[in-house]
Amino acid sequence: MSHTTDRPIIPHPIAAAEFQRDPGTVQWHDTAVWAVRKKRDRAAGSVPGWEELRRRASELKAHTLDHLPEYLEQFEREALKKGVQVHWAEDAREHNEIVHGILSAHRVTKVVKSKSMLTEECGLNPYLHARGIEVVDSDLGERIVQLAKDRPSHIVMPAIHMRRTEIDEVFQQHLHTRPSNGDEVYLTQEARKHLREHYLDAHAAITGVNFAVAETGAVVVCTNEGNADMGMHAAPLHIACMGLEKVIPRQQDLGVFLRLLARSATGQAVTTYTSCVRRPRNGAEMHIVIVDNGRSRMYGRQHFNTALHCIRCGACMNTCPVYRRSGGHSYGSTVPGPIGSILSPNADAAAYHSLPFASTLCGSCSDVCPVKIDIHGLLYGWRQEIVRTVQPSKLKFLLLNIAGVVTSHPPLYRWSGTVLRFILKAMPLRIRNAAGGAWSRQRELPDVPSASFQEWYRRREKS
Amino acid sequence: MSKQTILARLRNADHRGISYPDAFTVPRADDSTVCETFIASVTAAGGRIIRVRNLAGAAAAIRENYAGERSVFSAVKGIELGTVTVGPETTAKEMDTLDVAILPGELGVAENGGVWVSERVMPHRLLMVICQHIVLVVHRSALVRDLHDAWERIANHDDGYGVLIAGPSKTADIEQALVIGAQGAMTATVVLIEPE
Repeated sequence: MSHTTDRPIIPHPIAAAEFQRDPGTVQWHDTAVWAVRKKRDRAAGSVPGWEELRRRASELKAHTLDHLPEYLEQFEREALKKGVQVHWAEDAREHNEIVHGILSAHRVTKVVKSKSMLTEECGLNPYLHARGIEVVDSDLGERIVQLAKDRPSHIVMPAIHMRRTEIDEVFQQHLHTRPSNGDEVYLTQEARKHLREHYLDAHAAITGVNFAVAETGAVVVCTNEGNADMGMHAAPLHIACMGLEKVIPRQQDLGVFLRLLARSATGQAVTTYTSCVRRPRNGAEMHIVIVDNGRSRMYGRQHFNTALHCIRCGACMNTCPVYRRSGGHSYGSTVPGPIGSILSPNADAAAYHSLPFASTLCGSCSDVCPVKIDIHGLLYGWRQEIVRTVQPSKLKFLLLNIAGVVTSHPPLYRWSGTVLRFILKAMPLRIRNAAGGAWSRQRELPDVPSASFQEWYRRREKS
Repeated sequence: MSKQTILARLRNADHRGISYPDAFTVPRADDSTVCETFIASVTAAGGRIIRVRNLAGAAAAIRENYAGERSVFSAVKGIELGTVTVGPETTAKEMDTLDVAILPGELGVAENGGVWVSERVMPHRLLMVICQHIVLVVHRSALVRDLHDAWERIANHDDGYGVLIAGPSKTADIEQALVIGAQGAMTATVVLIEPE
């Protein structure tokens, strides 16, 4: 699920090298993101049934996905019964057209939007902007990124890549605040005033959906700031946009997912506001847009479709050593990090071919995933898929075949070892270290041993 | 039609017949510490707790703590401290100057300090987020251990809107520094009624 963009996608290693140029920034970003992982650990550790919860969440998602068409139809039926209008969009373009259609039917020229990775994925903001509709992102992190004409780098903490001094400058420029060296209390208060004005004169509110309950047709939206509620309760028109994988069977199941979500995302027991909307407000209108945009294709991929279990907590990003030290922008995708590296190649394997390789396969992501997606397993699976379909490398296959022959013939193997040790010893140090390619940019080859292990062992046994 | 195309694609994929996990095996907390745990959780979420014996005590405590506030709305029967009325037709602009909203909490969740407020007790949904200060009045008997209990308690409710509120609004979007008081209520107080 890449986002609609005409920017060329830069392969991860090249984009990451750019981020890596300032070791100070890398260290700061790494520490800041890891701190969130530590908060998650404290929260998870304080729940006696944590692993049981994860297991149940995983089972619920597996069951739901297995019966997805039925649950989606049930969700729609229940929502319609309660006076909510429901739309279906095959792709990003149709989603944008539907949303625009609803807005223009109501002559809306200004919308407030709370966090929705889906609308980011579909490129909704530029689409509406080009058609004369102003979109104000109301989540503080997203508003900062919007004003800075930047992109979010994390699905839960969109501005985590920005220093407070940078944020201060954005506020000075757009909100006319006094220079405060990034005083977060002052800036948050100024943002409150600024956004309040927008809520009061917005004609419509767009929100995302954290969970869609099939049993009741309810839409659940979780925030800490209260921005989704300010938007949807003030405006006469509310549009909730959701990926089709957001549906869960019963209201009771919310207990499982909500106990896992905030703890995994930020280490809080729960977000400040967990809003459950079943009906539009009296006199107001409510629409839900159910979006495919590559999800049904992912659904058909037997080996990868568990990625649709994702509840967008961001825990995998917080723990990933590659994400922490390369930043969300290096992935070039709406959802970065480990889960993003599984979702994006589904949409466009050629553009995102480098992402599954941007991993050490350490498996930390799988450890923290609240719904137990085998993230590192799926990344490994994608590598095989990509090598087979997108990037078959004749040279790599040749070298591996040669290695296969050498290692299956012991005399040939021993002879190769002797020759290699001779060459490496004879080679000047500088050339030897350069021979390692990218690996040897920050490492030296070890000293060349005088004999092979077999030779050393035989000598030792004789004495 | 897109709906049919999407559903057809989903139906065409392999289905394994994975049934709903009926056996609920998640271990649960002890019931006996529910009050202490709730108080600790509200505090951890940035909220304040005032403990009183009855509704009169609640009214007295609220009157004392919010004496200087001009624009007060109360949806709690027995706490007649409201200075403004709010109805379904009240506009957002009118409510923007609301200093205090006193709302009845139908449930209190010990594990996270959340208080459930539904549309049935609020003449307008904005009340839960637009006020400067939110006061949630909760009875000891309405406290439950966790979210599993909570959803069980309200299983038959059919409110058009309900929200679990845990503390005041907050954000950490600026270099992960926590700020209490973001776009919703700047402070949140839970008045816990515990009869002898």
